[in-house]
Amino acid sequence: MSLDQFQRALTDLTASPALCRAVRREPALLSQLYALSPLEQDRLADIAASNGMEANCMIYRANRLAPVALNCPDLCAALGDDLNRLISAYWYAEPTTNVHFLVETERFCQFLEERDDLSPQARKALSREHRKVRDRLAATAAMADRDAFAVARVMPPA
Amino acid sequence: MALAKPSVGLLYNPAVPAVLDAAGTLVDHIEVIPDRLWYDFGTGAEHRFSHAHTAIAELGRFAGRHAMIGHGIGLSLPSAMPIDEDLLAEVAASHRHFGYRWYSEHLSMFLAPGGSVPNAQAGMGLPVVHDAELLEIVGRKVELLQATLGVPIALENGTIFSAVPNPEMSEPEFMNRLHERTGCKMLLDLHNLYANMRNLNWSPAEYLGALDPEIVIEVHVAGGDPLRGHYTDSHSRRSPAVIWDWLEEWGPRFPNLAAITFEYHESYHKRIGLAGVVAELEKMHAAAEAISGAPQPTPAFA
Repeated sequence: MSLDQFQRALTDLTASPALCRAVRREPALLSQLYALSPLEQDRLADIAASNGMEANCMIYRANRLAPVALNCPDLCAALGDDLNRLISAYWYAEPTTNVHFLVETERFCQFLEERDDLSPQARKALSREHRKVRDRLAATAAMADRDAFAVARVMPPA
Repeated sequence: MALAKPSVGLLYNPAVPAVLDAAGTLVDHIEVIPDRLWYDFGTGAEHRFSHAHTAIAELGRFAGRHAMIGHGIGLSLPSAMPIDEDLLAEVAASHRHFGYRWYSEHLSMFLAPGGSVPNAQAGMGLPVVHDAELLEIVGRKVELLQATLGVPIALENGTIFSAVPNPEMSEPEFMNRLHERTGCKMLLDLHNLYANMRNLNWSPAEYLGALDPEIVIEVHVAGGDPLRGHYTDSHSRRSPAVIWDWLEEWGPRFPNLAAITFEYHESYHKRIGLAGVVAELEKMHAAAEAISGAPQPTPAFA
């Protein structure tokens, strides 16, 4: 079965405009990276070449940026034009997104903490908002053993 | 015999309590995304699901007065990987807590094979291949959900920017065959269909006409935004006028249509406004009234 490879490839293309461009130039690249049937390879080459792929890539990036923009608005504002470069570098280093908004934001903040190319304003915003994110994460983790559905869980099935 | 009036409701978000407090009599049902009721720390955590107690308590405040419907985003039934059984157990616990009339997921890929659950996120709902292999994968998972939750299961049509070329069957045919095999219902998102019409030149009449009318249990309405020549299902506005035309024309043809739900994102509550949400609810009630007054359609689909 190669459906899993097809789905993996489609996900990778969506996450990487660079891979899309490479596949548009050289569709045979797909068969070097994934175990695909000829039909699947043709389908993916068509998808990569389609206008809609631009929308897929934009929405992927917007969705991945959402946790950071939501939890660190001052940091994003302070980074300004550097945000695109830095978050792209972060995504390259951490290709898999974390479904937990606070965890994902904390990972990005930690990534920035280890860099030495931030402006003083960005460093200040990072310090303040990173602390807030860590505090909220700790508060969430502290409640993790409280089960809101405890009573429902022992009820007989509907 | 006339059709029953579909119930009218809202997809729950943190801005909805204000609507319910101000205009709760217009809301018959609340649609809950269970995945928003907890923080998922992943399979390696001692306590994987940390509940959002405030949100659950707030929702509980309305559960006695409004019917509840479950609408998940995390199980990603079309993904070629085993279902996340821990997540399914949590969804089942939320169902026992709130008592969903039915539960829906999406006919889109949200999880990518090869990643580690729950963080194998595809980053958005990606298109799927409508073929026999996928029918088998989705069918088995629908049957598991039916057995676990004990309520009807429905799948929602998604917004697609790049359709998979040369499919074995169309999306309506896939939905019809899934229904034949498992009894799975359809959550017909008219705004997603509108987006696909704008982005991919789909014909709504052809799409709706190809559906087995029996399978539609719920309709979603919503609004979106243009994005560099594309159109997105951003849940950011009131519904486009043509969606109400489609609901008026096609709603009476769906004999099992039981709910109409308006979706919007809380970050756009200010833009839409309380008056805007109320206006959507009133339009949904007018559409539901019109459907309930219509004669029962003669079964003609084969």
